[in-house]
Amino acid sequence: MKIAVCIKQIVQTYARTGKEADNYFLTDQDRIFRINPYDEVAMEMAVRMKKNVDGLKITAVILGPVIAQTELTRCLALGADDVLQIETDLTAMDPWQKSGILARALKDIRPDMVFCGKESLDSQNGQVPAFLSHHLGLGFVSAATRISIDQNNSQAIVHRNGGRGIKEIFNCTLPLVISVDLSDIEPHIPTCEEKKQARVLPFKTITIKLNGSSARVSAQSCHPPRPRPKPGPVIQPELESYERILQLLSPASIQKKGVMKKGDPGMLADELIAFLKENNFLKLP
Amino acid sequence: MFIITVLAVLLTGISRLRTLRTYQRKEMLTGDLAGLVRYLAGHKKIMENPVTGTLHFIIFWGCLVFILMIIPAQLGMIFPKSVAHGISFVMDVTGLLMLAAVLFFLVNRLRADKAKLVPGKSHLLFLLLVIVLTGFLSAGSRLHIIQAGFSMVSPVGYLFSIFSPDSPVFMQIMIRLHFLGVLAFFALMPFSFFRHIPAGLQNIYSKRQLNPGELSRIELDASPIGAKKIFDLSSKQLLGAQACVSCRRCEDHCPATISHKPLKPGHIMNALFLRMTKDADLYHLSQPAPDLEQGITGDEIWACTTCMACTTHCPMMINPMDIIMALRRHQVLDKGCVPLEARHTIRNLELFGDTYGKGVSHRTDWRIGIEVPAVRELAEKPDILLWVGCSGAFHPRYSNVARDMARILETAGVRFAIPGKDELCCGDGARRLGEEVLFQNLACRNIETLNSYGIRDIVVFCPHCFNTLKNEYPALGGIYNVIPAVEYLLTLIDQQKIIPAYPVNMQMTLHDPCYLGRVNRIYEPLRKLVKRVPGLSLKELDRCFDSALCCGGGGGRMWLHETLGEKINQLRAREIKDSGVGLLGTACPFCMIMMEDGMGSVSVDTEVKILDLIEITAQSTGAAYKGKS
Repeated sequence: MKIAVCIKQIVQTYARTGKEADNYFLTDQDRIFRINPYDEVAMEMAVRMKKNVDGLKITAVILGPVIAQTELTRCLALGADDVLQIETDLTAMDPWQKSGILARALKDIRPDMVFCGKESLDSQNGQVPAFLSHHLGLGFVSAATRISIDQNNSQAIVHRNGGRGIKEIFNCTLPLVISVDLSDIEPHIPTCEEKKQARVLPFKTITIKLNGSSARVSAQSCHPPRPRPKPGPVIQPELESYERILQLLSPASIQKKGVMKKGDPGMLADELIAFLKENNFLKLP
Repeated sequence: MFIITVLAVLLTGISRLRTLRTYQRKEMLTGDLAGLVRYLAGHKKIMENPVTGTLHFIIFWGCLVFILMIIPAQLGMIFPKSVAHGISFVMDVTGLLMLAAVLFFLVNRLRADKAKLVPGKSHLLFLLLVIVLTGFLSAGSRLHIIQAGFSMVSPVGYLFSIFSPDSPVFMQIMIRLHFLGVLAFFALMPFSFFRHIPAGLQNIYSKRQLNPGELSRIELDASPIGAKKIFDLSSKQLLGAQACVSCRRCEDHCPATISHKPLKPGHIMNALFLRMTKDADLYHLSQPAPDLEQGITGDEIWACTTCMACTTHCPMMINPMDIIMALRRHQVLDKGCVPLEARHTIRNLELFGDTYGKGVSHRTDWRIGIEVPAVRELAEKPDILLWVGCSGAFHPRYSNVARDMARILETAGVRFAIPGKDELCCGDGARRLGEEVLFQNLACRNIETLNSYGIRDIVVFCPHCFNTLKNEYPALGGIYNVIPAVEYLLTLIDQQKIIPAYPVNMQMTLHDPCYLGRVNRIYEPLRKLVKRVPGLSLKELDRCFDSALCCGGGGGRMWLHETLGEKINQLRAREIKDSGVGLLGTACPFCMIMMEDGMGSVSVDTEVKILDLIEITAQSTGAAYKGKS
């Protein structure tokens, strides 16, 4: 029996974003190269099946160059048997293209099951596993939390996190694509010996070219979140109490846009209508 | 004939002890003869427990005096009369003291709680009693036979001669018994509790080439990395297990034992000795031996706070903490068994480089609003580097201390800088949690940064960082002049750069951080600093200096839940509350966090303020800062 686990290496930017260089600017150290945590759980889930399924072989599939070497080794050390790296001619891909490439690679190794993470921490699309099942023509269960296989290796029982505390149990025919959700399955800590072995795993690289196919969906622009208000300054005890209170209040003051009108309700209503008309919110005859 | 047999038995026994110490780890040891002689002559370490120490002193020196006297007597050397009389008197008195000491020990054992006693000591004490008594009785009957009467040469012998029978046969029997007793003593030495004599002597003689707080270094490509089986320990560690006398001093001071956790350092040493006697032969026959886990449980291993209390108080200079760390390394690196709560800490360290998991980009958040330069922002090299540490940078309470320290340095006009975003966790947490690989990774990256800036002097205010930078980085190539913040503040005060002018009118007490006190012997600077601040009066706790109780946060315990036994920080908080002071001074982020937690849970009505000594100094020198601005 073969399981392919798709692993995505991500760049996690955990720092605040913003323009002020001193406190908000991103530096190189702020980027953490790691494996998508959902994929780590998927790998752990596959590894735990080794106990019950004889002759289970786990292939880790990575798309694109290795950017997170240490963390990749750590993830492989959980129990992968070999690695398949896919190189492509495209640099930026949408989920549709990614799943197409993965499907072509997976058709060659014919896995009984394909495990993916539910979504990736960086883009949070969650589309690749679904598209992958479409390309391969296989069944698909999303947000799986537990899986067990029957004696003949033909049926799988998959528990799924249905949200709002609902647990759904599915009976599926293999082969199957599942996307894995975070659950009580926590990746174990690989030992030094396992890490050593992970460095010398059979590593196969294949190249799949899409010959200039263009993305069906492409990001037009990206808006980072507004910077959080700056943390308050340290209160200087030597200042007068009045000034210290001002200091305390200063970070919390948020500039409000708009005008506060006061007065008689009738007058206010007229002013409001005038304002709306002026700004073309209201089109009255 | 007898003597030769006994010598043969003794030597076989000692070589058997040597065989038991089969080990695979080589460790550089140096001999320290002067230290051994000092140790034996003064008995200072043993005298820390005054009653037992004194009695041990008497028995040890008594045996030595008798052996030294009997050898020339047997060789037929003749002394001048006055010298001979003197010797006789000395031996008489020594014998009496020994008799008293042995009797005291025996009575003590008979009265003591049976469950707590170490078996196998009573019959050895009885043997000593037989040796001393037969000695006196033979001397007494001899004096009776020759009708010597009372003389100052042998007062005790005279007393015995009064009721000794006037019979040469009795005298001969006594002499034979005495001789047999002495022979039995030597023959039994390596096979009984008396093995602490050869093993202990060797243990004290052989010194490790490690800095005070440093854990033993290991090779990462070894397999297993930690201690899986008994012979994965180093020779010095096994020597400790043989030398242990089960005096239970480690257990009197171990915070884990005091708080009723399963860990007892003495028990670990006993378990090791048991394994050693059983497994050494298996090793020589290349047969599989059982793992150490069968004698030592995970709960024991993870209960250690690495406070060094066991090591400091051990009269045999054994280091049980080092063995516990070797066992932890095996759990983490060879088996991947880490307590659930610690996994996140280790993961945070792996990914973000700090124990709080906030990341490098947030490392300088604590300085927002105050002027603190980072090394990379300065054109020229600063005089000193202020090592902030994870707690100073991220912990909401302790970053106040970091700010105070920065303000003090600014006031004093010191050209300083912080490592800023170049800083990573020093690796103490990782190393004490058994993750040696992670520690070396973090440490090497830190050393590389520090070296690239050409840093020489580093002021550190976290004792754990201090210990790591000072004692553990040199092994990895980072040699710096590391100064604890407390000492640096004292120098600044002495140089009149800061003046603690404003009184802090409070009675305070001090909680000695383990990694300043026991590990690095920094006790006095804390007290001196308190004295420099006007208005403060210091009241020492019952457990202070070497006996200070750990706060429960060291050795990675900061990130582990305390589910077994009592909570150590609450125990300590109760002690502090009962001392009736209004202010607790400490000098360690872990102590501060643990004590604030503990104090919050034990005292609702009385309020004990907890401040770092840096904060107290900052309060007292606040005026100087104001004057400048």
